[in-house]
Amino acid sequence: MEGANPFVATFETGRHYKVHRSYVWAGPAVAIGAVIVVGALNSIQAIVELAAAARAGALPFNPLFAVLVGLVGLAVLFGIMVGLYELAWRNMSYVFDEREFSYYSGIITKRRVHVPYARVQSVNHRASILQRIVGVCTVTIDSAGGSSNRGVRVPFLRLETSERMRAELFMRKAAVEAGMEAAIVYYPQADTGTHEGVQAERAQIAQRRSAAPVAPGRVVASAPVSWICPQCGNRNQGNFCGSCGAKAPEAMPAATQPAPQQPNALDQVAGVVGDWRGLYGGASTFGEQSVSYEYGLSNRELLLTAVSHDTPLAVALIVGLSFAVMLAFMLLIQDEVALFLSAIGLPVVVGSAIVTWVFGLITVLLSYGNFRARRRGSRIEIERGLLARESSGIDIQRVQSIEIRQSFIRRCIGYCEVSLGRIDTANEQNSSNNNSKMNAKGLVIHPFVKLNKVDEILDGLAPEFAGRPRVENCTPLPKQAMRRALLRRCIWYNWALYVVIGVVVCWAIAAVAVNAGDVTFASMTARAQYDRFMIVVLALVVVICAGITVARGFGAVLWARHSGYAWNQRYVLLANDGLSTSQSIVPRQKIQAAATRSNPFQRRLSLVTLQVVTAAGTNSTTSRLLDVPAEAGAAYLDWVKPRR
Amino acid sequence: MKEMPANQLDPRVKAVWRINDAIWITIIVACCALVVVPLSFALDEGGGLGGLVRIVFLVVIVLVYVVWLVVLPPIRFVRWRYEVSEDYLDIAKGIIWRKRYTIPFIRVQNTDTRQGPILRVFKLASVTVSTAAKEHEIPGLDFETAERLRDRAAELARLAREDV
Repeated sequence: MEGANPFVATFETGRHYKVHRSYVWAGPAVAIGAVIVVGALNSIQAIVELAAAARAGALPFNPLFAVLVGLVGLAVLFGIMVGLYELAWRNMSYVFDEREFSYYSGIITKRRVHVPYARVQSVNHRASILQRIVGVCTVTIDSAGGSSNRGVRVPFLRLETSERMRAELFMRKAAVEAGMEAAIVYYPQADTGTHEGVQAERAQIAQRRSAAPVAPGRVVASAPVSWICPQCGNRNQGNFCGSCGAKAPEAMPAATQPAPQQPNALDQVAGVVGDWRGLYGGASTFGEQSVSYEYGLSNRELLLTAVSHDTPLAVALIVGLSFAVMLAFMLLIQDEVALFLSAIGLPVVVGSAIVTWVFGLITVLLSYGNFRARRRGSRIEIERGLLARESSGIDIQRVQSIEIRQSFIRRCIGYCEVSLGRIDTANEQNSSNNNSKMNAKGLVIHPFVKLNKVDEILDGLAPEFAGRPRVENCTPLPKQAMRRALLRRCIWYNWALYVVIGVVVCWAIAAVAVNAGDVTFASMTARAQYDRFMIVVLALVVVICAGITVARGFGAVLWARHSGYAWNQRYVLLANDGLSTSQSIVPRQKIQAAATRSNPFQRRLSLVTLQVVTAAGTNSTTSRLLDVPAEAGAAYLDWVKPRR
Repeated sequence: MKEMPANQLDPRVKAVWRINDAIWITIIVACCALVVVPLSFALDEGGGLGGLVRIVFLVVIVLVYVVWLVVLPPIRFVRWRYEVSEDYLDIAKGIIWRKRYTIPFIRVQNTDTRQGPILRVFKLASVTVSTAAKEHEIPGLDFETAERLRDRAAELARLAREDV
């Protein structure tokens, strides 16, 4: 296609763009909602008291009047907040400059964040429930790691704008890298397809998409079908109208997408910026390419993901235990209620644990609901979330590591979670965003997959990693590792042991005090009761801790038997087995530093700890494997040295 | 075990470590004394254990000073070694937990020299090599060596890709 400029901008260079107007009311609405919920929870007691007073016919004021005052107060609060958000909105803008993206914000303290295009790592967006209803999302731009690691979060962008923004950022990055910033051409509203060149490019893209080789199996190739929005007459390609956000007519996606699939926001990233791949071979990063591999979660997998997830179970256990402890203390203190409590105690403990667990399950189900993972060009894209939706992607070149983890339950049933290590940016604007929990594990590309299927999904999603070493090729740890692991896990680092020691010491001190007569009992029965209680507690603690120690010992044996290390030309693999397992596969290119570490005991047996430091996570991630022979450690350090 | 990296730090760094540690230890000791001394006098009124507490405290202070100012610096100095080869930086350090790092220069994003007030008195500087993941500091090199090392590292690191 002659004369087609690959660098087509849909944002004008140097112009200040605003975020969507809904920012002004949606932000306060959420805050007011929170105020109402918190206020209601806090005033339950007051309401109960008022109800009692009303029954007695002695209300201090008219309830209707109180409700009115409350509503007016909320309205005033809402108004003030809208005013503040309005001010914030006026001071908030983003600019695509020649070489960097800038985000301006702040009412009194003006803040501006600049991200050079060359450092843009990934552009992700997520939408809360309210934002999904409005049709906006929050875009996060992560930049390359290092000491100057910074990220930008631009809130309340229309979905269409966010996708154009992603395209724009990667287009400009490519332009900067090719040294062709001057070639960037701005077509106003290029996304609506008014420009002829753009339309021609689009036709070409559509052709390429439909002709794209489709891998067998569950691959969905979605050819763009254009339609005209009934509300505003805008011509569109995606599932939503580009200018008013209306949903596309139902018939459209059904024809091309056999799988039951929710409207896919990324599908509407029309390839406006088009064909710069031709000029910049294969380095293309976004949505105009066809999907070469895609999968989701079946309902069964989704359910099992939640059931085998650690977090709900751990939270439920903690809640159950704390209820049990509370009950135990109440039993100790009050004799009259003891009988009643012991009757309902067990159901309360079990019930609270189960309710907590179910809530945890629902949370996991919602966050992994409608999970899609796909490979598009050089990007791996993940979308997930039933209510709040999150869409994040990573260029294959930016993958720092592959992590394959099994929690205890998953290990028992032979399933695992696969994630990609990636660089995350500590967000300076809002550090407590919901992302942080997910980011701690990297980008989860499959939350629940059978171990022997891992190769299949990795080969589909990231064929570049085909040459990685497998656990079968691992060199096992030397014999000395077993004894050291048992000592380490059952004695030195065994917290259960220290709990037992602490409890025994407390018991001894108490016994001394009782025997010395510092503590007096009301009667002999009270004394006997106390003794019985202490012995039961002690026995319980010892039994539980002994169980934990045995489990840890079992884990240590598993670790020493099945852990190992392997490296080949391009990758290093550290496999830590045990009750829960983890494998880290790191490309040699992504190792920031390699280290070995040894303590005096290890040196006596000439063992070292291997460490692989990568830039994944917000700062850095270190994967370790203990008790590797010293020669292997030296060989590993040599292997990391650049070859020529 | 592999042979150790070739270069040692400047011997004057021991004095820097001593001064630095002396300052920190003095601050910590002062804080502890604020708690321990009144406590020991309170104990005096009770049973007369206060004197013993004070003696133990004094012995601990002296021990800490001796260990950190006399015993540790020479050992630390002997253990701290580095080597700048053609394309990687090799560091070995640590007394009890011995660490050995290999940092390829193509991963290095920045190299700086830093000079705190104490280092400046001794005409020393420290070189910091930062990758996308971590910073590695070589403390206490004489100024010319530090500058040379920094320039060399920067030159080698120019090949590094900003994009991680």
